[in-house]
Amino acid sequence: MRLSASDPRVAAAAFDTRLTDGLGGLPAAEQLIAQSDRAEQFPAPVHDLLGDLGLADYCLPAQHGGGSADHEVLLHLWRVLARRDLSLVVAHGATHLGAAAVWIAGTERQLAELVESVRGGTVVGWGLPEPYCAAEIEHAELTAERIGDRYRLAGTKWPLASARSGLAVVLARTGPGEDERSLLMIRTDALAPGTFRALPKVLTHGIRGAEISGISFDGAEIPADALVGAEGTGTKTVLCARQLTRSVCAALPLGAGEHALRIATAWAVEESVADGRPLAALPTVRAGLVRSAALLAAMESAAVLTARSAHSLTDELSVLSSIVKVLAPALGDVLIGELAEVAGSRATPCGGAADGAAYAADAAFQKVARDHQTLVIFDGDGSVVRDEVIGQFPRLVTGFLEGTADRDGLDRAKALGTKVGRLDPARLGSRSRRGCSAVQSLPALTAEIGEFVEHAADELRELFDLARLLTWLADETHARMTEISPAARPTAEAYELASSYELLYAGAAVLHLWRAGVGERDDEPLWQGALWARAALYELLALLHHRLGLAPPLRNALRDEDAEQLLALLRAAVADGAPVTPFGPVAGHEYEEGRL
Amino acid sequence: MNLLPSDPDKVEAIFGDPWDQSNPLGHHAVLAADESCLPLTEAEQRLDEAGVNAAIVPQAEGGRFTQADVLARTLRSLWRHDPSLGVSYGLSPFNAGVAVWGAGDARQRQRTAAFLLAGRKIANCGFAPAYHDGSRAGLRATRTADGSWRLDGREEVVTDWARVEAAVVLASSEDEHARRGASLFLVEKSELPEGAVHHTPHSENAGLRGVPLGAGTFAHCSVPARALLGEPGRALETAAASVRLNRGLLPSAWVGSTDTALSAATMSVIEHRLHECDASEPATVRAALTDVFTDLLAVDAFSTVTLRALHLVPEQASAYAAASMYLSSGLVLDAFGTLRSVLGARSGLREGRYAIFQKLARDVAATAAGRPARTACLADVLPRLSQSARLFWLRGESAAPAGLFQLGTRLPELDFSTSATHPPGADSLISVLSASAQETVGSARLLGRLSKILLEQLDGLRAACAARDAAEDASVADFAMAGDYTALLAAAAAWGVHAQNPDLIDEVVLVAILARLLRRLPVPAVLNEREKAEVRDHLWHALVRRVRERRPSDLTAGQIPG
Repeated sequence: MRLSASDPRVAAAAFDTRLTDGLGGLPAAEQLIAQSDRAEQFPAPVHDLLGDLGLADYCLPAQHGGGSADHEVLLHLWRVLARRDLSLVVAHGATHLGAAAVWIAGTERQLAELVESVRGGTVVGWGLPEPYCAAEIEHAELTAERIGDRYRLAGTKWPLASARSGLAVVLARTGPGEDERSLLMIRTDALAPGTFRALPKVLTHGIRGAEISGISFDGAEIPADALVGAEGTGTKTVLCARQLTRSVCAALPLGAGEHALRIATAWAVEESVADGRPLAALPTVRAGLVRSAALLAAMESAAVLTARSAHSLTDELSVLSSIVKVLAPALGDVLIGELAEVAGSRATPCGGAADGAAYAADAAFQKVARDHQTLVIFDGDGSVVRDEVIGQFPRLVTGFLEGTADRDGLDRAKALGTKVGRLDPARLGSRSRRGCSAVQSLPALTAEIGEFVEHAADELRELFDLARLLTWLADETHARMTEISPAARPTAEAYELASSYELLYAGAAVLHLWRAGVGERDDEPLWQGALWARAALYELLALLHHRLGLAPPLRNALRDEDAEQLLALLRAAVADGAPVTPFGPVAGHEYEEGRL
Repeated sequence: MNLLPSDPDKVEAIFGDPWDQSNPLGHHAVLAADESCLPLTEAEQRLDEAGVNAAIVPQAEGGRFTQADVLARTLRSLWRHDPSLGVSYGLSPFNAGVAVWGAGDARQRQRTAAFLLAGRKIANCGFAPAYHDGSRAGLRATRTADGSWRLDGREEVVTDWARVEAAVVLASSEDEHARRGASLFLVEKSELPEGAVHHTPHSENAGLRGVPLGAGTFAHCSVPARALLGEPGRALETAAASVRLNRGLLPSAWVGSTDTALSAATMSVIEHRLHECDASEPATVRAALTDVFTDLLAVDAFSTVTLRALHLVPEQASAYAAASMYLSSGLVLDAFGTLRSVLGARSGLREGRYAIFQKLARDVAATAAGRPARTACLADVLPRLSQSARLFWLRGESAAPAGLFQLGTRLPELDFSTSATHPPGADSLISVLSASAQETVGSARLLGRLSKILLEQLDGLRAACAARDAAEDASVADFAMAGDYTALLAAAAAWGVHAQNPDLIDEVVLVAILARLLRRLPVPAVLNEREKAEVRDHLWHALVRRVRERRPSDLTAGQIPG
């Protein structure tokens, strides 16, 4: 397939090149990142460079000159950045959240002020978590008491990215009632001394370069026009803004997972075991690498489909963004755990070389692993996120049984390489009225794939078998979801089913994107015989069976020759920098658009 | 329990209440040492003063070591507070010692015992089963004309070099740098030529940062002929006992660290509940914590029974130790992952009340992760599994020795010199599982249903073993089969402990353990949602009680300070 020069995958690769070149080449960039991590500081040269490259613009709405017109581009940009260092992306996540909230509910003046600050290099602090409640916004207890034309603040926001940046958007109580939480845009650099305290940088296990701290207010006063939206609308605004950010946040585990996969694959080839053969000679190591590549492809499908759906299925985003927010890091955990095993003692280099290039690779792997672990810091346990899907089970079940789907929106989301259309935040809602088109159209898609592969090669018929199995598991999952009665406190089973639903969504994403790309991309090795899609589905099906407490199917992995083929492609891709997944950044194309 | 070991109590008393901020050996002190990559020397001194160092020296050599399950409890107490100390003070010098007790001559044994009893440690140079996953030896040994040896090369993993007087050194004694054909040496630093060894400390280990690790470069380093430990070229055999004991002891030690992590997570939930004035926590949280509690009991039962098997049925116990290491590492790593989800943001913080969690997670991962090591365990399990499944399973004639499950009772002396190879033999654990399950299979209790599935799995495994061509290289499916077998062994251990000590593992807990272990096999979930919830509630109340009463969530359930 010929990639258009404006393709997000090309843009991302171009961005990666400029970033790397800007830091003096790959070895220098890697060294800088490792040093900053050790020093627990954000690498200042990277901050400046990202400013020059205009990355923050992508967090800003298009009508204000920003690039937020395209979540797919943002996903890929964050992903290549995450591939270098997760710490670098965290701050942009906070800026995106703050900007999204002001875009949704703020005034033109507030938005203009925010845009100007971000353009000037300010990273926006995003104040949701409090010491005892992580992501549970219903527990936010920071108070903002209205006194004349001012609010007086008391309470603490922690842990918080970029708390000391000068500008923060925080959720606070403006009254005692449940629905009296409001969003405030605070110029922390304009607060009276002694009325607030910047808390020290938090010592974290991972993402050590990220500026994570907190802020404690003790009578700080801010003008009343700091209010974003009307009083009492804060919770709703947060819920909507969060959907936008969550729809691209899979970029972080995606980048981290790819980074880890590349390091571990290189090791497996060069590192030798007892008898002098390479690590990759061990059948369990080979299986681990294949499994990881398949999981990454599954994660990528869900991530890409969701980022595009933010534009074309905006009203479903309350479901989709929650799914991908939990799904992507969960798959990342499995993948990195698998790779840590492949890597053996090098993942915690007690047995590794004490210096030199090999040691740097060992340290880089460990860094990815702990950075990825620390991603949970802003969301706590996934159950808070899953609550949002569980609350919509009845709608999802009805939608699945009736087969309802926004065909046009879904088709646009699937049509990679075409413009997906403008994102209208007015279409965001706390509930998805239609449910989830991607999963609800799975039976129809499977039937259609059945017709498509009728006279095709064995591999494609195997894909059809996998699609049928996925559809059968979708039936089973929905049947069980029917049994869940709505409750303030969901049962453990409800959470298990939410997790199964996430896997169904990933499986559906794989099939939708494969179906949309087949024919056009047949010349690419990963696409031949639907190799990547089959590999990804085998992994998702195995996880689904386990999650649902079912015995695994008899065939639960690629045939040996297919696994070998995937491994060979992986090794080649790692050696020459080509994509390891079907939708990875593609270097070597000239990117024509001005900015990046 | 009629054999109360005193060493674990001493260790607990020395460390005191880990959560107490003013305790100079509390978690915050452990964390401070970890942050500066230094051993907790104050604790080492106190342990020496209390004579805990004698716990790793056999009684016959003047120390107090009598049986492996007792030592495991001492190590577990160390690992409950600081795994780095658990390695540098306990496991690592013990492993070095085992090679000497098994293969050393009288002089070598006496010298080693004297060092250890004087509070000095023995370094491991290329011979650290706790780190090594069976890869190459970095050093080469050449015999010189006068019968002495010359060591050359670079070894990446040397423990505690700067502080020791002697080290057990592994070096290949043939041309190729392979383990086979390697020899072991007991090297005393005072006998080495000046400047022949250059030691470079590791700068940045992810886990076990308090263990003084480094790389050692040897150049024309001559050592006397009498330094040779055991026969030349037979290091693999000499090391077998160390590897076996290490695989047996580590899982039991992990129980200590996992217990602290579980208490931390449970405390965070209780604290959160108080703060929110909320009556309950999300159902996922209870499920997560009780799952970890269940797995912890399973690991404890399996590892303790394995350590007792090393004394009672040594010909079977090598495979059990490999199986225990494989399964327990998986369970323990998963447990940390599960607890991470409960602690949420707190799991990644290096400060505050729960900072100890991330340190324990790193330290445990440093010894538990790694497919080459875990695959090596399965590779050691496979041949024994094939043999005994074909020859002995389900015949019912090989009952397990009575003492296997009578935790806390005295055991026959441990043979450090037993070689790794054994004739095909019975499989005590599987015969216990098969007998218990056959007895229970007709019962209407949950245990009856679990028995049916366990018997089916045993049958299936036996058939698969019979069909397997032992001459072929092991495939991924073969490894999966060996993995299933390890879960069945753990089930057997838990059932055996339950039968002999129903106060330690009652029937509900046994059901929980078996159901969790079966989740690792390719079978459908056994318990329905209502049954799961009932089991979970039972465990949840037991867990909260233990955490509140400061009793560990393992089979000892004794009192610990705090």
